[in-house]
Amino acid sequence: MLLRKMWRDLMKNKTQFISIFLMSLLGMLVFVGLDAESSGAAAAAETYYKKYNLCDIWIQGAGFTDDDIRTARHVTGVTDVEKRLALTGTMDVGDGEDAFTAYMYLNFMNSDNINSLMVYEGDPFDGEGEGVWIQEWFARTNGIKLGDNIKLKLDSNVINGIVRGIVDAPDYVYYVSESDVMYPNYQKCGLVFLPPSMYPDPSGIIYNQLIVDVREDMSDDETISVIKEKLEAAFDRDDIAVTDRDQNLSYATYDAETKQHKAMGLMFAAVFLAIALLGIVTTMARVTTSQRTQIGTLKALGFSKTTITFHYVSYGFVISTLGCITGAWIGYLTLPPWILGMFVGSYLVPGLTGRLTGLDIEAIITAIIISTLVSFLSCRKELKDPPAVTLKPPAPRKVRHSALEKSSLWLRLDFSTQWNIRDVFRNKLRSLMGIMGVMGCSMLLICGFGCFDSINGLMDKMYGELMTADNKVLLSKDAGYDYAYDLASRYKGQMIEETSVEFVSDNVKKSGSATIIDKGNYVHIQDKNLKPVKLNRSGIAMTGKMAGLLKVKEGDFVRWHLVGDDEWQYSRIMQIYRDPSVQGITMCREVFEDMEYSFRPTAVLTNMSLPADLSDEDEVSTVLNVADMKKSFAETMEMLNAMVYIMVIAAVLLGVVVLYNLGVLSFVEKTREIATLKVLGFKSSGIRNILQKQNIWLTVAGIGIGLYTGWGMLYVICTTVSETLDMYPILSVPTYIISICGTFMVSIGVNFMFSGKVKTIDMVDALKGVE
Amino acid sequence: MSSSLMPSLMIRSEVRQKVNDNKRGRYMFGKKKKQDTNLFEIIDLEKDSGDTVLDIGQNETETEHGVLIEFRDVCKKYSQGENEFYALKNANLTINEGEMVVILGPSGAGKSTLLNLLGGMDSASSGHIWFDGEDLTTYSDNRLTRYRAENVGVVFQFYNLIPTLTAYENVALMKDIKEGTTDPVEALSAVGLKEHMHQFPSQMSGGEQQRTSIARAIAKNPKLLLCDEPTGALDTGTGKEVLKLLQSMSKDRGRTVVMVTHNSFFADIADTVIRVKNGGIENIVHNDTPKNASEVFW
Repeated sequence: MLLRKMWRDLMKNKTQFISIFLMSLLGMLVFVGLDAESSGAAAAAETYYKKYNLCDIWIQGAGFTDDDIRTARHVTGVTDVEKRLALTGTMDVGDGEDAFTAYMYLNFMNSDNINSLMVYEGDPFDGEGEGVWIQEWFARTNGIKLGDNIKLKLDSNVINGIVRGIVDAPDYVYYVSESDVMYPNYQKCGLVFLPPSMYPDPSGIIYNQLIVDVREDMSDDETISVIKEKLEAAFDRDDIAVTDRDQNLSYATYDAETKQHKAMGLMFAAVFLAIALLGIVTTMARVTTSQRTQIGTLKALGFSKTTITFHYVSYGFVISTLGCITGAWIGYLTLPPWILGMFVGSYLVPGLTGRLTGLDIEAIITAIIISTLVSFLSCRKELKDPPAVTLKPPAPRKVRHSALEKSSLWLRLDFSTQWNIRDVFRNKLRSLMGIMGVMGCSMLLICGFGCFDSINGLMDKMYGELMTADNKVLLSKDAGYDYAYDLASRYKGQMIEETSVEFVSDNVKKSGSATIIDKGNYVHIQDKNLKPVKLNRSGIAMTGKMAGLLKVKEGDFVRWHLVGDDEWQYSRIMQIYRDPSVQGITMCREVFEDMEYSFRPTAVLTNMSLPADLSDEDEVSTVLNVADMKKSFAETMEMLNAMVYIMVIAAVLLGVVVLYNLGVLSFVEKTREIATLKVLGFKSSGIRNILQKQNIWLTVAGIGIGLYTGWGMLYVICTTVSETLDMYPILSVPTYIISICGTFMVSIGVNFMFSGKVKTIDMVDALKGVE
Repeated sequence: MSSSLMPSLMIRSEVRQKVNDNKRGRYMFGKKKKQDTNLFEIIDLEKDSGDTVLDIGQNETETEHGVLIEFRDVCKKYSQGENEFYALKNANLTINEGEMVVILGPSGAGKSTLLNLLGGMDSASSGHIWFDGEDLTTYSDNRLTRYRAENVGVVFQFYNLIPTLTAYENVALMKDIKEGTTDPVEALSAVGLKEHMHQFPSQMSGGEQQRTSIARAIAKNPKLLLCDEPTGALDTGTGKEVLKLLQSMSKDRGRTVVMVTHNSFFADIADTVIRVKNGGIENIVHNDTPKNASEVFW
């Protein structure tokens, strides 16, 4: 019978319970959905890496011989070593209008025991033979078939090869061309694997990479770094860089992505569940207060305290259990396929499916336990006293006058203000819930739209403030200084050299890049407050993010060397600057040349329009047009869009559900007061205004806090994106306007629905029944 | 006075005979015996004639009544800060099994406190309360709850039905706390509410609600039926019907009924009248010839 009572009570207070249900549902939906998605993604990658034997350590250097392989093999823990030559080239794809030059990663190797190729079609990789193994996405989207003859351009050479395999590789789950910045486009950026015989000068091939496989039981982070040190010691060469998976772009980006999704899931869940809990507290307190006499009766009839407690606690338990489990179920079924579907274009990992983890089960159980506990705490007070006390109406609540009410200002406030102030302070939890709901709503809107702003800001910054040229001509290895100089003077361009470096400070070792700029006006830097500053002409400048990673600051010294050159430099950091996408150092050509390096430009920046056939020249590898880059970038932001959609939908749902619940709560509680006001002669519209006034206060407070927390959430998202990106949270004026107005509309709209009910209150009826 | 509210009142000697047999059996052969199920069977027998029969015939004084409840120097003290207030002071009384007891007194005299203590709904500050040979004042909270569940039926002034449960469900609720309760349909038939048993409290009149509340109380087959101003919220006519019902519970079914009221007219129908004043027992009067409830006017 008590079950029946519970069911009817739930039905009677269905709005509140539905909102609690929805909040726990949403919280769990997003949490479990994102967790199952990210866990599934991580697990798929893990399986993939294991099955196709992703290497544990990379050694980059100017040249490796078979002796070097032997040296590396002797290090304890190392099971296998292979050599590779990784280069970049281009390939002309398509005909007519759609023709374009694809950016290509070329890997020459004689075996694939480590970083094995996953063959979709064709032969397994054959290091002794001839032919080309081409990446699946690139082949599919560009209509390249098994048996096709393709032409790869490598500097001034052309490699002709027959496609023998359509493949994927575990060390290339993510890669970007120069122009992609951070969102990959696997149609425009290809990947091929070739046996050494395909190299233009097979006998003169010099490998620039060793990939090292480590015993499985020694592949934890600590042992790996020990092995890395041992490898460095074994080689005793300064021109190499030893890196592990965490420093590998492909591995690290994917890893960061899955972790970020997990973190976002947690954040969402925290907001929703917090509100669900507040909902439980307020609703259960209301239910038990209004059922005080019933509780007393049950006690008097001989129901034990345990039974009654159990009865009321089960409201919270049943609702949160239903909400959490339904939410988890829906989340598991919908979010992973949706988001992982978008992964497909960004990450080349096979077998992506959602996966429930122990964490999800724990989260569900924790949420249910907390909800149950909260409902226990909120109904405990009615259960404490003996039935003789509970049967009587509660002693009137002690009313304290706040400081404001005692001040002389109080009397000058009008009635509605006084009434609302009292109401807010005497129903603190309810008010808090309202503020939280509004806060969550505006926070998610701010954060969601802020993501757009920040990404767009990143692009504008990179190609509007830091690099102001319209075109960037990437030079091939064939281009000497004279060619670059000619090009620069012909098109009024600026020469730059972009190269890889390795930094060491105390115990930290990091790879980064060095940008050396010649005279010109296309490259600018900004200090840590994003103010434009002039590049120091007497020394090197380092990005703040890299300095942070190396734990150095302005004025400190840092050791570094160019990758492929064993000359170590010991330089003072003269300046700290900030760059969103490239972390490392920047210096003037003079500073570079003072260190006795020769300046070898890798790109020329220019604002002049360039002839279309410029990219056909052997010395030119690619011509990048900034406008095109921006455009294609915008098209590849699907994943981000999805996240923003989730946030905006969640925001509106959150706002509506919480405020609706709040509306019902306060409306029910105030029915008698409203009826009294009506009897006294207040107009319905007047009463509506009183109610709306409180709502506006709470909304303003909520938005105020939401702006802060939204910015904080955006900041967290921006700063955790990856090690190489230094994104700054940006909020544009339209974002503020949309978020604030959107929240207001939700809040006022929902409240309007309720205050409309004022008219329907029957004065006589409302005042008659004494419960 | 609407007679339709009550079943027709017929005296049938065979019914009374069985009732008396039942009473004797209970009183003579031990107190743990499952009570009164026979009674409803008897009433069921009468259903064929379309009416439920309740025997409210002449009082037959049972001389062999045992003592059910005894209060010895019972005090109930409330403290508010430094102020102490005795709601009940040194109360001594005994209530016999099967008696109809009326506790009379003005507001604030301590009647409700007395009732709460009797029903185990509150605990005494000092003194002893024996029920069926056991001292309630030594009971733990849980034990006291079991006492309420097993031995006490309460009828409240404002009925205190669970508004979200129908009359039937309100009575059936008792199955959750005690084994061997009367079937709710029988209990509701006994109070003449079989027709209305699927209505919610809000759909019933005050009298119907109070009768539901009585059905709920008797469904437990309690040794003690406590009534707190059972007619307080009812009009005279309806109140009298309820009173008759309660009287019959004592007289015909041998239940101990204790009724708290401020209405001194009710004293006439009681076997024992306990007058309460200023937190103390003023006097206890035994009435050898209680009136029939239908003869009382107020």
